[in-house]
Amino acid sequence: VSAGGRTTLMVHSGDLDRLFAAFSVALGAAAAGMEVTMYFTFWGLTALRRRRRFAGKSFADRLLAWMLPDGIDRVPTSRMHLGGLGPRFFGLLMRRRNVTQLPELLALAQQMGVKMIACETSMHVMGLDRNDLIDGLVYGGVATYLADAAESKVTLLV
Amino acid sequence: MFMCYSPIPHFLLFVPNLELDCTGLKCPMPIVRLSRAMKEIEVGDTVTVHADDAAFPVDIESFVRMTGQRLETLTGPAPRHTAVILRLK
Repeated sequence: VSAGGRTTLMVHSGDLDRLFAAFSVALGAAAAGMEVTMYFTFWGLTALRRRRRFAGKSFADRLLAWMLPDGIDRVPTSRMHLGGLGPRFFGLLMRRRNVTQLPELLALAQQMGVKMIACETSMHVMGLDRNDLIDGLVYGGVATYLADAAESKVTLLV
Repeated sequence: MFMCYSPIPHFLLFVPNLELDCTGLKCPMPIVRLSRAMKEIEVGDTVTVHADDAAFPVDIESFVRMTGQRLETLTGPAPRHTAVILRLK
């Protein structure tokens, strides 16, 4: 049951709508039997966060930890955010219309063996260490992403 | 709408079949469930998928083409779609 080939997504955005598109495509590709790599950089990393943690961090890092969304269930929408009302509104609509939401899509992607790479440099900039992110990630840099992207049939930047 | 892609309709062949109800599920979930079902069945068996997602009839054809399986039948009418997929490999 395989289409063969690889799909690579660079997930730069931490917005609900864009993450939804990224995870839908990743799941579709994984379902078709393709190997899937998702490379999370910058705002995309907020989707992989656990709940915020302040212990042992510098002032700047604590500020970032407080400012950034902590987890895939708390990400903002790119438009119509309305001070936090937007994501709740879309969450409600998605639940009512039986569209699978982000936390479940992320869990499914992990179950289906989607390789998720967290960009170490972005993590450093954002003041995140490995304890701040969910389990089951690969930690790497541009070379890790490029190695997978070079042999991919589909590459996307979200 | 009734489309039959094979010379003999599957229901005349007494092929082991797995029923999969994806009614109410939206893209990409029917495809995700189907891929799991395809791994459960043996080569030569079929899956019958019921779905009411608007994208399903188009998606199922692409899925089958990508994965190298065969779409035996795809019946409507919208929004209730039923597809029978034969596992070839």
